[in-house]
Amino acid sequence: MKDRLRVYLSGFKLRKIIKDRGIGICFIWLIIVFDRMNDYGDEFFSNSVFLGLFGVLLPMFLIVASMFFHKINYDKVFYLLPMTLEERRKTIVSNYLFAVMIHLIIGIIPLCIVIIMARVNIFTAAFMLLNVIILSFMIIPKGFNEYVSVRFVMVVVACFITQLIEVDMFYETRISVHVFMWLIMCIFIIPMAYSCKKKIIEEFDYAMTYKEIKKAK
Amino acid sequence: MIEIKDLKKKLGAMELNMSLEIPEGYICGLIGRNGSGKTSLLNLITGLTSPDEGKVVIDGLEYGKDDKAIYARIALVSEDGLLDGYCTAKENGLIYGRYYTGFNMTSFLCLLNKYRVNPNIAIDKLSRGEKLKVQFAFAISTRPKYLILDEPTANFDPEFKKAFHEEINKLMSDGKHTVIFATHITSEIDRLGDYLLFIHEGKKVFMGDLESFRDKYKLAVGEEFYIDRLTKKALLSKEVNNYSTRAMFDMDLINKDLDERYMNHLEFSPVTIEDFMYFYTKEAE
Repeated sequence: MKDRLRVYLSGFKLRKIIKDRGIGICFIWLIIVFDRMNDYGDEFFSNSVFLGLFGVLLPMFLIVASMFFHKINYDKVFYLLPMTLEERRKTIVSNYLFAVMIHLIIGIIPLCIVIIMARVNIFTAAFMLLNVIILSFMIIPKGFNEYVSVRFVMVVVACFITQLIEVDMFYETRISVHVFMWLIMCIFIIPMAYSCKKKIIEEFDYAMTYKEIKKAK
Repeated sequence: MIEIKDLKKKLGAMELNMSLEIPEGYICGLIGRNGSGKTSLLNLITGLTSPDEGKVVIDGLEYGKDDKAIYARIALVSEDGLLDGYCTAKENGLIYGRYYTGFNMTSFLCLLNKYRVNPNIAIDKLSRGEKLKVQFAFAISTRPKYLILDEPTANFDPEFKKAFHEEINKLMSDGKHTVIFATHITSEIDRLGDYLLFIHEGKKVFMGDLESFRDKYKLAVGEEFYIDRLTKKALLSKEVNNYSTRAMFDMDLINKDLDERYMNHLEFSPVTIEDFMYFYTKEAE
């Protein structure tokens, strides 16, 4: 556990965040905060807006930052470690699942607190929860600087935009609006996330061997 | 023992093609000019690249079947960074060292201290020489049976070179370890090596102990007239200048009975590795 945490935390190096342009992700969140401050003025610190930004959107930004910095592929030294191919795959998968677990903790605990404190309607609560769960499993296969699957980016963007909309719908009573949002979830986000799952599983096999062997194949 | 059996690997326009055995308990120097296939051969030995044909067998173990046992025996020090550049040397030791049963974190940190490398600085922030020192310290701390070094000494300062030689000698003292050592600095092989593997354009030119290398190849200096009269097929390369002619001979092919009268007019000396590389590549071109 301690070692897994060490491996996970090693992904969050300030230099890496700056180099991988991850700092931009944090700026987007700040822009949204300032935008909301402008829009709401004194009402900004009212429960729903404040909770939405800090309890729902901030954890999502942290998850997105994490998914960019924890690629599935490893450094050369990893491929020289005394492990069987099966053990190497197991290590890759368990490091991935550990990151997913961290994402779920970061995302779900604050979200549950927000849902209870702001008494969010059931449709919005379920939607936001599903969004966080989907996002938690998305880890960009080859790192931010290399080829990033378009599907991954589309899922992340869709999750984000819908979550941003849902943050304003804590007390929305019109059922048609919820139906529309859930249609987006069912028609677009879930199928796309499902197709990404296949890509992640492929990536586990791909990450088992060093890239020069892959090139040769 | 490392056995390379009928190994073939296409490397752009060149093909690495060789069979050889690297015996246990010796230091084997690997030389060849740039692009001759040295790093590719080391990548094949360490399993980082797979061959098109043939196989690499280490102590009877093969890649694909016995990876864990093989990787427990080998350690690589390479010019291109092996360790995680964003992490410090200490973090790399903690993250990767735990996979080796023989890894000793204290000895790793002691070595870094001895080499004057700060273990708490990210690897990417270290100089090239320091990065290699960290890799070398890590490799030594895993207590490998086969230590594979890809051009390690080019960026070492003289002080560390001494420590490096000491560490290699310490590792070799029990006669159970093997070092394979690719370099351009031929004096390093003269100083440390027991065996020499010279490759050119992906082919093995010479593989054997340094003593037989020095017996087999000799440099003759004297008049061109006498050099030209020696057995033609023994002459590997010749360089004529205003005052004398230098030529490299394969002494195994010299016909001593016929050539002796001409040999007496020439001065023969054992060829240095540097001269051998120079004459061989010149002739090949």
